[in-house]
Amino acid sequence: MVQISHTSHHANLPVQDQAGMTTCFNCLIETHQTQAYNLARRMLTDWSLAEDAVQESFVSAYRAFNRFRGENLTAWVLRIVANTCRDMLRARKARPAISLDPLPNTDPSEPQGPSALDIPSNDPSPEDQAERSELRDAIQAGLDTLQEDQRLAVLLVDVNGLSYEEASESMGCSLGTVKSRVSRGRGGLRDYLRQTGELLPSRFRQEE
Amino acid sequence: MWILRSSHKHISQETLSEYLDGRLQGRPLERVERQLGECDACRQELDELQATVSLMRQLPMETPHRSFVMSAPPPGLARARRAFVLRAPDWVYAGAASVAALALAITVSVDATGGLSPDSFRDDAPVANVAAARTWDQSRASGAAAGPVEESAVPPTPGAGAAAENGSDGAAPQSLTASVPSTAPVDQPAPLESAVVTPTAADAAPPSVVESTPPPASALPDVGDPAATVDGPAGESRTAKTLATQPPTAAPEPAGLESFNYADDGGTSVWWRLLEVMAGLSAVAFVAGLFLRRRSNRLD
Repeated sequence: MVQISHTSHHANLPVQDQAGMTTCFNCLIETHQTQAYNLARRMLTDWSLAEDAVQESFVSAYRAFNRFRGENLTAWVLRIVANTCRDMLRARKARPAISLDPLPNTDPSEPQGPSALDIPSNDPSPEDQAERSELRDAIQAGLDTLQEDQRLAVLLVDVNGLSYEEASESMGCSLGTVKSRVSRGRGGLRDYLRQTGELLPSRFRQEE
Repeated sequence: MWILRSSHKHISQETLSEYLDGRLQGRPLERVERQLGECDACRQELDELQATVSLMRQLPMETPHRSFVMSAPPPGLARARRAFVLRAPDWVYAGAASVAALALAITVSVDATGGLSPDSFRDDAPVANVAAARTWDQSRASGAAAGPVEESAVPPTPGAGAAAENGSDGAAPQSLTASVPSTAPVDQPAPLESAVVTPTAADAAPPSVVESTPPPASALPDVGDPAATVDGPAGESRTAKTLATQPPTAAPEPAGLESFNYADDGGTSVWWRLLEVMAGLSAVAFVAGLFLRRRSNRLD
């Protein structure tokens, strides 16, 4: 099995047949699907839409994989995911509709599984669970107030852990633009958390 | 880049953000750290930003509900190869857009000025009719009367050569005078204008044409003189005078123009409509191609 790493040296290995291509690309999917899903999850809020976006993004990436000439495979994949999310956000703005699917985190009958809250903790008490859920919802609400570009920049740098250079490649903009968007996104989120401090967990309120 | 304008100025948010990410080095880093030690507001700003970033980084990385690993290649892989048209360089799209816009602008402007309306072609018609009528009146001025000639009885269809030939033969039929009023209502403005504007044009008449229209010899050397041209009634002499001021050499050309305009009026409009449609289609194709190209580029 061909192992795909983040470097272009491995990503540009020639693949002889279609089956080998699929096997090779599945390695890429396994490596990046969590990051891709979380980016889409934060961008779109809805986990179901996020999964659709990731699925569509990987299909698009598969079709364009032979033309990949970039330096960073992660930045390239996240760029496709970001573009897909933007398209879906625009479509949602054009056709606002209420989803008939139950919200994954508000329906207690739905099995949450490991994806509902994956904060590694040694204290899985119900109070702590509720506090973490409250924190996550507050941050997501703050992210939703940001502009699309600022939200994407903050997510790429602070959540997905990309460097400014990688985020620049993912967003297709200059390094200075990334710095500005990250700074403004953080400032906007900080302002939101400051205004809605009562919604935040006590841990964050004590810090202020 | 952060600039410390004066001692009481706070550090910008962007610089604090870079400082949090460890992207400051050298003197900028020293200045930020010195300012943070001196300014409580800057330090509080930094603490809040740091807490925000810390919360962001504590967000859990959720695991998707399902795996996205492919069991088979996705369908429609052939569409991944960009079409030939979409691989064209950018200047091709720019050129296509310019040509489409230019063609559209020309078509619209010609339409707006009425260039395509049938009325615009009739402006030339009086000139041709005047030329035909001039030859008839010249033949009347010759004083030679003969039997009716069927060819010259229909004004638009015969060419100027045929009309001039009738005049040179001195055959001025009665039916010709009857055919002149039929075109007269349309021709009223043009002969009056030509009578005012072109007295000198009559002097510049080539001698060869004068020879082709022999009688009367006294009227031809100075056709602009009313006394020389008056041979008949007052109305006829006026018409003869105004028509004679037209250059004789121009007689065949307006007659040809007349037949051309009336014959090609519908055809010209069809060509212009075709140009309009082509301009519109090229503009639509350009926009569609650009959209597809952008989508294709975004996947790269």
